[in-house]
Amino acid sequence: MATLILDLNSQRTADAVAETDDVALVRALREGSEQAYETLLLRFQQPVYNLALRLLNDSSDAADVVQEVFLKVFRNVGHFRNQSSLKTWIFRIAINEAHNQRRWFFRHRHREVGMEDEREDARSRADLLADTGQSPFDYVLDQEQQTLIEEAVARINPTFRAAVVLRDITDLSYEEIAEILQISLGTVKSRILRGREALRQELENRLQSQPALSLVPKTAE
Amino acid sequence: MSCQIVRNSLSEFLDQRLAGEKRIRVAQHLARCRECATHLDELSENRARLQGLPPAPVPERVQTQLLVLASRERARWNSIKTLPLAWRTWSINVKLTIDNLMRPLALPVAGGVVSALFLFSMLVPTFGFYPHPRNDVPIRLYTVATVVEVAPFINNDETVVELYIDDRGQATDYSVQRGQLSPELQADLARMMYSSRFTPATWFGQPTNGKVLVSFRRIQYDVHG
Repeated sequence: MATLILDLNSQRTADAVAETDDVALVRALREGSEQAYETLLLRFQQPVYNLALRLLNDSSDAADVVQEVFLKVFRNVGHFRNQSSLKTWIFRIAINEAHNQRRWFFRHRHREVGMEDEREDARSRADLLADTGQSPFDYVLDQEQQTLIEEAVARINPTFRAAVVLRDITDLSYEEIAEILQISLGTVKSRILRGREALRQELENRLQSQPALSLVPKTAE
Repeated sequence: MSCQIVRNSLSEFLDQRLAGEKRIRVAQHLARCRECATHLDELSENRARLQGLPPAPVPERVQTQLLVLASRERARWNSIKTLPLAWRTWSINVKLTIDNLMRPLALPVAGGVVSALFLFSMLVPTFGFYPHPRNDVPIRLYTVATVVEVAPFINNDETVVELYIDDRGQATDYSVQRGQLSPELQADLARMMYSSRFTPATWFGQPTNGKVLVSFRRIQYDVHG
């Protein structure tokens, strides 16, 4: 019980520190501090990109969304009233932008055919260096599992997907999700439940329809 | 507690958002229902898979674009954050906009103005705005002889006389067009012709013989009182 109280206190302290940091960061942004702009990017570019990528499942769309999000953040930071946390505010913008991007995609981009060869799995120089990590077998298994999950996430309803991504990938609380999506706490619970259920069924179907990966060691010919 | 109710609560149970008696009842149900426990395991496993997804690194190109964006937006914000700065930026932008609008028009407009001036200067001489000199010699095809000064004429009758003017401007002969030719009139006409002055007619600018029709009328003044 004592540990619980301690945890709660430490959580409150962390929240208070984050809030103070947010206020100071927003004030510095309004003053036009160069360091504040860099700090904001360092803190949020990765989570925002990750969120956009999980919601849209397309790296170029995610890149566009990230730029739009930060453009709006920089332009509207003067109107930010500290009524919510900076993270919540930015994530709300990201969710809206991702939604707009998805809508635009369904109107325009799905008819386009790319001419350039921009493969996601293109090998960089770093890939050519000696890898001291997991074995190729484990790597392939992990890759397969990751692809399976990403595809399954991409197939569930966007409304439920946003809630699941914010909860399980971005690790936000229910209250924060409610604030970001601007819905009630009960709706958040419902969407997370239905999203997780949809993901479970999606993965179950995929695992049943696809045979497990089996690699047989062979000598090079 | 039915399985359906428990399954609807599993998501919250997994996130440790069930408290008190409800959490205990769900836990008790899970302890005795294998299917619901398996369902919970699957949900838990999927959540672990999602949490295990590696964070996608932001591409370097995007990072660079974001830095450029931040720099540009910071400069923009610094240029408008106070009223004088905003006014200065606004005026610069307006001037730049006007410059950009005028630049494509400048050469055609300048060319048009120069062309108009050139054409106007070519047309001006044809408008004939020159002052007419008093002693200029008319170079028209033919000019008639005119009266410069007529000497007093005594005859009281109305008389119309055609005078013949030579190339020196002197009356050389006459012909009475209206009136009675009498010796007095002949004497008057001779005296008048001798004392009057005329401008000769011209033919291509050269003096030549001509005619002048002179009418003499009687003017009567009635003085009362």
